[in-house]
Amino acid sequence: MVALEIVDVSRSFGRGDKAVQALKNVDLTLEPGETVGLLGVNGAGKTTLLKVISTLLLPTSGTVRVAGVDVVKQTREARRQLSVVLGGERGFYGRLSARDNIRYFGILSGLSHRAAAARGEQVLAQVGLTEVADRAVETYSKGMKQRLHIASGLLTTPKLLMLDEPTVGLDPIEAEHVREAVAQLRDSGVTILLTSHYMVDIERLARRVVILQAGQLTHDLPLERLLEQATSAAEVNVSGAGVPPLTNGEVMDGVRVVRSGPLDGGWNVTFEVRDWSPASLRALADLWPQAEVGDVRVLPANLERVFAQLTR
Amino acid sequence: MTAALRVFFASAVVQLRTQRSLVLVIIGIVQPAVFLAVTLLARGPASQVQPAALALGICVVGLWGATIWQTGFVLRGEQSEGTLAPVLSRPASLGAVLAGKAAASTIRSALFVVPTIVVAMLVSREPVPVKDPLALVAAALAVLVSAAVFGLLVSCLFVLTRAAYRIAEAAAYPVFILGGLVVPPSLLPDWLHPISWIVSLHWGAELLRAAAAGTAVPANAWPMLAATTAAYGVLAAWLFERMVNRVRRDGTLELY
Repeated sequence: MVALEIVDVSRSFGRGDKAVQALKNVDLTLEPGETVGLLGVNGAGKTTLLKVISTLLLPTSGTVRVAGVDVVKQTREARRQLSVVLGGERGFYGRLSARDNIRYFGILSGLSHRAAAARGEQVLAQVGLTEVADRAVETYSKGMKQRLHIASGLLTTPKLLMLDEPTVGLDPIEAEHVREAVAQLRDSGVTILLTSHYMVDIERLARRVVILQAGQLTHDLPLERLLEQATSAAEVNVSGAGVPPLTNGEVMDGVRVVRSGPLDGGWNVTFEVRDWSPASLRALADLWPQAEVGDVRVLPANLERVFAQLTR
Repeated sequence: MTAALRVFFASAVVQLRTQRSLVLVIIGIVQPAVFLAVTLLARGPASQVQPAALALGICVVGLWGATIWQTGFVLRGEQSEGTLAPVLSRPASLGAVLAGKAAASTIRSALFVVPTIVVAMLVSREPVPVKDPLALVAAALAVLVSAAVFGLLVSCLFVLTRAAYRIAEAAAYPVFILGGLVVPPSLLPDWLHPISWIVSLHWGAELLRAAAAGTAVPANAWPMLAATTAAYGVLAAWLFERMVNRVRRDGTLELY
């Protein structure tokens, strides 16, 4: 049985002329144990999709099943199969301590008092909040609240875990803790749907990437295949002194100028290179015999650049 | 303990520990105390008003006001704190969550209002003879349950409308009048009597007065209190379903 099955799901907000369609005929299937990165620019519909899956929003049309359970027709049963972390500054009882919040949400997740207390301690330790667990949540920093959200999402071992930008607001060390916690869950076989603006999260955790654009699912590929979608193999930044080289559009086959201008009394040109090889550099040098090249930097294609190219 | 009971009690504890006290201090202590003081001072020497009836009336007024302002805003409080979505995404029954919070909120209101009136009566050296204490306690518990159920109903209503504060302000005194707490129900126009019958507070006040005075309980008071409370419960359950569906349909779970 698939972990998540989304069939022809649409969701709009508002009515009539002012209606905004946040999701348009989205189809998506996640196999058990998969970790899928959901990418999209702000407003693409990522959070709306997670909310529809997690029963917080009703779809306007279409069907969503989590482990075979319909999220509209069998809402409470579907909630037993999933866990969602939406993050943010709110979502906890500010006057209660993190420990009390976690225990309460454990009970709401179906755990006994004793199990909620025990599991609560584990997840608080997992996100590094044990030392401050007795402090009122309203005194927490943004990053600490984010970690508490993650802890809350890890209270049970769901069939499907959804994380909406889990590392936003975290410092690099905190973010790495969160990635490790999610990686552990992934390795234990939990199906994970993850959104993030930080490509390092996706590259580190996901095996497959889907891209939403204006509410439509436009790409659905294994991570390595997505990198192959790059329109260029690398970006090459060349700077130097003397006479600036000729920099108009495609300077040679497979090499295109994307930016050029003066820099520190000299010049600076950035190329996109479709198939980069040492021969390309030699060909460029032959093309600009007058140019005094001072520095060359090669930036190979990565997910961030591919994403920018695909959603441009 | 069943899962629903566990959720009920855990939610009640969370409600007790998170509820802001300032509104309750005003509605549960200041308002009843001032109300009582003004009524006692304004009462003439030949007044027929019994101190016990006065104290009970103001207790119920205070409790009802606190119910509307405290229990009624339980769901709104969850919405403003941003906890409604995380609570709703869990498999626990939201009905059990809300019932636990409503019960805790109502009991807490009573714990403010009742001692306030008792202390005020002692300070003013007014005798408050209670002829049938057992019946009084039973009636008081029934009024509390009814208030909590009414609070649930109001709470669902308040999430569905932006005019919650206006409704809360406007609802209090008509209910007090219809409940017979401001003027005797017999003084109300005949056409208003059927409306006052659907106010459970009316029947609760009858029971409390009879217990305090040691007079016969009107035959229909208990059945009517039970029936009106049950009707509020049914209406609350229906409204609750509508509320949950509407916030999921409109995407207003996190809006306030």
